[in-house]
Amino acid sequence: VLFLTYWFVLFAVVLYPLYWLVPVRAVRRFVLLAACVVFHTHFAGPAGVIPIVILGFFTYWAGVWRSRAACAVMVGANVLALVYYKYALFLCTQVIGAVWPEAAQFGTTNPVLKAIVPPLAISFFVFEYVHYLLDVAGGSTPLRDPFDFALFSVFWPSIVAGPVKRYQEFLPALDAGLSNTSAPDVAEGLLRVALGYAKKVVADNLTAYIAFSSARYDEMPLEWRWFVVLCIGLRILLDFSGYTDMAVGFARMHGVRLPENFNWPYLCKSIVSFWRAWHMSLSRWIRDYVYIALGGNRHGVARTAVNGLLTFALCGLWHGAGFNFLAWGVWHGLGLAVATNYRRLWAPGRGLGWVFDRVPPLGWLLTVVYVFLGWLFFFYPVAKAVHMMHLLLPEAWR
Amino acid sequence: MSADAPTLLARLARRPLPILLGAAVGFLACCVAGRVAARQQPFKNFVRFHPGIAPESHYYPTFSQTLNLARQHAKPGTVLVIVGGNSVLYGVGQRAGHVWTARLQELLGEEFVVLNLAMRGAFPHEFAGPVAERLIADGVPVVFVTLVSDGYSPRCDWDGRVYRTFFWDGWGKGLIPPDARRDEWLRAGFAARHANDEQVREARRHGLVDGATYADDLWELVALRYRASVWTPARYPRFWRPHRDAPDPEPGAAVPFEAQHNEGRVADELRNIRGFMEGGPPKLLFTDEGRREVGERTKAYLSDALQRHALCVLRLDGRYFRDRMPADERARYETAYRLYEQALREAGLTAQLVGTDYDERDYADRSHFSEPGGRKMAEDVAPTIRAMAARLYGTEPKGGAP
Repeated sequence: VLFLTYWFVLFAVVLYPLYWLVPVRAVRRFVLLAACVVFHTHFAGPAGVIPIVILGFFTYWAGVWRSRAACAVMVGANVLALVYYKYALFLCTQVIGAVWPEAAQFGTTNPVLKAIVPPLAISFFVFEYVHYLLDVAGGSTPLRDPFDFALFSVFWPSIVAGPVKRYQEFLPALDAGLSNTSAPDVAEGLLRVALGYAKKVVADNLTAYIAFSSARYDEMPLEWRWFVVLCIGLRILLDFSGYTDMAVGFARMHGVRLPENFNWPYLCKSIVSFWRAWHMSLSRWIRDYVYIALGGNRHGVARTAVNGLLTFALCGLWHGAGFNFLAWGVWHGLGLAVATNYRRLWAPGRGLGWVFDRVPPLGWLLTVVYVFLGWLFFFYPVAKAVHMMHLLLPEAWR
Repeated sequence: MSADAPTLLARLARRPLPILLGAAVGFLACCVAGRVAARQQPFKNFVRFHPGIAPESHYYPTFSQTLNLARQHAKPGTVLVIVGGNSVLYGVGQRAGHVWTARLQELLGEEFVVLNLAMRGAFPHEFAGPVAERLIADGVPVVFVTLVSDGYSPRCDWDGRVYRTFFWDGWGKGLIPPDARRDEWLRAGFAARHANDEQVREARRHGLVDGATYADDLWELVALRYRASVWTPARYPRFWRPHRDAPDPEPGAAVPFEAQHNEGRVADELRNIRGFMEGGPPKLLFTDEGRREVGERTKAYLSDALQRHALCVLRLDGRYFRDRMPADERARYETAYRLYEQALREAGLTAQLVGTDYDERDYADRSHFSEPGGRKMAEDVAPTIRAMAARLYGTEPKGGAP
């Protein structure tokens, strides 16, 4: 929780007055870049900075050359780096190890694999670099100014938990902030940070309660189990959106508008609209660079469903290296496949759709229950999550 | 990247002046309120820092609050006996109304005021030590009682280990008195030792920021008196209730003797004792050089001022477990503790070994005294405290309760 450290308090106290008081745009840009480097170096350490600098350097040059081959190579390099740092141990011990035990043993004893420490926020860096490379390869204008590219890469408010930026949107926003940070910007940023902080306080309390309750879950009455699930869902939203609020708020205090990430997702009336309101910058990225690249919905119902499942399986794994994250992604992939097709493919579906259209709270309830149950996979190992879901049924139905 | 429709916050921010002014005034008001809070003594009927008013329940007593508490106890014409150290002197195993420091107060009489600031898991100089030092520097007559037999650790430092935040809180507010060795450590030693320990460095920054804002004093005062805001299993289910209403949960004699003293525990507890004998100071005590080393290392984290005022208590482990050691091992164990006491005295400290003639029932478990054992400890140390007070302040050693 980097924004809640005392180092960060001191960092912000020095940075903001300096940034606001510097009247020259170029100097202001330099101040911001220096701050980003200090922030990243402090929290990531040399071992976390070096891989990002190397990936960024070559990504930048691949963009400058505008060579599709160079961009393709760098997309591969970025993805490989992500797989290596975040998934090598998981793949070795859990996936390959499941069928070939020697691989699991190799994974737990090999000093190189054991020593892998993922660089801070590598998932975000890689997603932003891949977006940049694919867009440049697709014809977008690359960033020729290395300072611009560096600021896009390590803009400190969004380093840790996003939002996932698009460079075509970020550069004009950055330019506006560097040219003029207004009093309303600072005021809105402050309010946003305060809101985010308040959410984090509630989320941290919920975290403690959930940890306490999980150990007693099996002995709890049914309604209290559902209450724990409700707390888990709220905790994830408040924690994640609180952090995003702070990131967006701190950026706004620089005069920079970052994309929104959440738009009241728990009020959505279908799983489809949930994914338009939950972690929106990631959803857009996944849609544009994975789902559409796989063919999207252009090849019939079955292929669309498979594409959706694959996309969400990857989305789940992006959140963490574990089968539970994979299960969470598949859970949502299945939910989306059903939600988009039940009216067409299932005879009673049209009637059911008609009911949902006329009684919106029903769709909302179903969506919220489905999403909240899915969070059990996000929080716990698959077997435990399934066990907890099972215990949510009334005793007579178990 | 503009939002589709202005949010409530965006609409509010269109008039930035009230918000910015409000934020600035609010911040400054909180800082002022924090400074006011730092002058309060907020505890009610204080006996000791039980888990309801301690970090176990996410309540962190601030240096100022604790110092004010101690100042309130320091009455003119009396010697303030500050009890520091860990759970043994805190009185785990003894109910609040029967804690050993209550008996100590009875024994010492009206010329002394006993204040139990011991914290569970604290090192000998940690938490209560700097408070005692501050009062000594302010000219208050103080005797500091601490337990050293649970040792010092190479991992422990001037700021302690478990309650580092407390030390840095006092440091940030300029309440830690000067001491040549500690000041040198603050200048250079800290940075060198904790170059890669971000958690410890954060504790220091915490002190630095709080020294300017007094946020902790305000926050903790509100949590203590009015409403707590941090959920904790220690205060389940009504976590929001003021910390100072939390009861002292120590069951004392309600825990049957057999629960902690049974054959099933012997192996584990003997392993703990042997681990201390082999890994702690006792292994050094059988040579002159080793004893010097133990003495000097024990002194190392008592500031120069505190060394004169400290009574270093050593306690033997529970009789039930000692009696289950082979005879030669037990003899070596008990000899080690006598040598330990000798080492501290040779180093110029006042030391006292307790527990030598206590029986099984005087212990609540291997480490802690029961209520009868606590009373015996009070009877053991009271004469030493009187003698120290006489030496330090010329107080006539009058009697208290028999």
